Amino acid sequence: MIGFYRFLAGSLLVLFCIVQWVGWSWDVNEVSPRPKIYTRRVSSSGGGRYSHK
Amino acid sequence: MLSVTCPSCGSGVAFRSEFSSHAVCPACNSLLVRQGAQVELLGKVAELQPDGSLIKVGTQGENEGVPFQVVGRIQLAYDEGYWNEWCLLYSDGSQGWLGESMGEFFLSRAETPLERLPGHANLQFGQTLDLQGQPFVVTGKTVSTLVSYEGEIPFLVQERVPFTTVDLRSATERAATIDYSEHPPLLFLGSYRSFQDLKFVGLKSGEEEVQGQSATAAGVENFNCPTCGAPHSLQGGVRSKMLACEFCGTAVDLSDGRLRVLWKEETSRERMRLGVELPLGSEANIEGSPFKLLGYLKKSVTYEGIDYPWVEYLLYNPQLGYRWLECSDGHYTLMHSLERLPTRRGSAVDRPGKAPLDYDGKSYKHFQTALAKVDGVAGEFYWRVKVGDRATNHVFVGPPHLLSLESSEHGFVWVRGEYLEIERVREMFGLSKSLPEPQGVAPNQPNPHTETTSETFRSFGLVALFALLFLLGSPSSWGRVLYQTTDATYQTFRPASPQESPPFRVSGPGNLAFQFSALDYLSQRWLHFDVDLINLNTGEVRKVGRSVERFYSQGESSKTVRLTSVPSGEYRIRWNVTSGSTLIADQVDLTKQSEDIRYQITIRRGVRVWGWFWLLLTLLILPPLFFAAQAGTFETRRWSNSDHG
Repeated sequence: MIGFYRFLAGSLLVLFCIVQWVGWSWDVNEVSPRPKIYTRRVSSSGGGRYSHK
Repeated sequence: MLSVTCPSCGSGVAFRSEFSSHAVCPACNSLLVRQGAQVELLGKVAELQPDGSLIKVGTQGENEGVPFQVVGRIQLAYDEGYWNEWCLLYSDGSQGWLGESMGEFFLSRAETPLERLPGHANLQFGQTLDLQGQPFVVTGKTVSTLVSYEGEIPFLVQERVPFTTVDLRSATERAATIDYSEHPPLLFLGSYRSFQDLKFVGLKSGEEEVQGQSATAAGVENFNCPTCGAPHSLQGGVRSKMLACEFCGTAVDLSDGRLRVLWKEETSRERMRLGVELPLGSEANIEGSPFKLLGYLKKSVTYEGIDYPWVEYLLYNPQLGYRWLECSDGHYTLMHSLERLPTRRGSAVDRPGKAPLDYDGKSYKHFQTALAKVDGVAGEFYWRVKVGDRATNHVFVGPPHLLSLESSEHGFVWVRGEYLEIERVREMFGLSKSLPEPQGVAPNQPNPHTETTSETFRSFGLVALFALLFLLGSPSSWGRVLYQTTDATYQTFRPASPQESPPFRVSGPGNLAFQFSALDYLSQRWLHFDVDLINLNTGEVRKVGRSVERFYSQGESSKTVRLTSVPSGEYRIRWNVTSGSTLIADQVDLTKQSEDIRYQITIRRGVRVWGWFWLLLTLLILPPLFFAAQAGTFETRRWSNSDHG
């Protein structure tokens, strides 16, 4: 069990180094403009400092 | 050395030690007292009793590199048998004693006590007493009577008058005996040693040994049970005091040749053998020395009306003494008595209590204190044990070892046990049959998950450290800025044209990270970057885009996009920035007031992706956590059987 774990850890470490070296990333490259319009946060009571606006 | 002639028989008698005041003529057993160069006859000494000792007058040995010779002995009798005090003459001319009883050897020298010694009636088991500035704990009291003398001796013991000796042990190798045969009492300080430590030369020959043992129980080596007629062969030599017939439960006194019945328990062999896996008379190889299995005790403790039984096997080697092999629920523990006392906060333990103990640098936790009783007896024993005997056991565990204090009205004995896997027990006894699989978890059973847990955590730590060092100490190009815009501004409601960077070189390993930042505060507005990354060597164009925004204090004013597989080469970027305050981008409207929004695009090579690091750690921590949980479950099962469960 210890041997298998060491093998797994070593393999993942090598993979980690390769990934870092190559520069793989999971970023999504958003090319088209996709602005996000936020809405104001409203308190759970339904009212807030600016709730009348 | 002084040589004299025996006034009784004319044989030569030697006084090797200047400390010897008396000597026994080896030819006629006359006791002589030295008066200068002359001797006077005091009378005859009694016959020495066979006691199974391998030592004789003339045997040589070594104590911490100083050779000694055995020049005489005082033989004493006590409840459990005989005990020898061998008188030693060291090569430096000094004199000492070697106490020998039940396979234990106590090397000591007489010392003048610094303080007045208390009376033996005032000393209780477990009581601490300071002797010569060191604390000792009372572990035994023995009432003895003189049997006889042999060789030279420095003093006489009063005949036919029982006297008390008190044994004391400490947290170190030092031990003590207070001898109340004289007034004031004598103090002997020394240490317990193993047979091998003493490096004996000139022990009794095999023949002499056989003669000694053949005198067992007045020459009885084989006999039939007086009740059921079952044949018995004695294995434990003269040290055995009783034998309980495994077939019918009759206990026979072996202290003399009359084979008197001590007691009888109605039982059958089938009942006695229930739960007993190792046969009487079998031989075990323990660390290279043969031990005979002399007998076994069936014991139990009772909790809430339920009996929890186990078996204790008694093993014997004439030189090394006795060992106990305990079998409980199929788990085996080999035990032997301690020469030193365990400590608690640096002091020898006098009262067991429940706080952790230390022994040999290892900590032991209290597991159980229980009153154990003897339910069955079979085979030979060196004391007169009987069904119904009770003693309190205080058990402390530090797997694979345990420390157990058995305290009863007879004494205060610490033993240390080591857990044995059943395969090791089979090898020890040369068994071809398999032993029943152990049930549950034993108090001192090594946790099979501990090593896996610690090793996997260790590997995890090493991998995490290496990965961190790789991230922090990787190539010098790691995170280097290749290009950064300067004074770039977006003007709201004004026409904007695409802009281009000067050429820049991409080299080294890693990703290509674009960081888009709004330097001015965005109020209810988004800013979007459209970037073309142009490879000037190949003409290839890769598009990159990202928005930053801030609405109602939400959103981020800086974002990063990382591109993979961007080969080294000459590049430039062309970018266009759009913005808006809703989902629709600003339209050019020169009538509206324009606002300048400064922004920055930064391009770096080889930006560390910490996400991979955290993912690696997350994946690799799972197995150690799993093993740790298993180890924890095992410990829970162990301690559920304890007083603390």
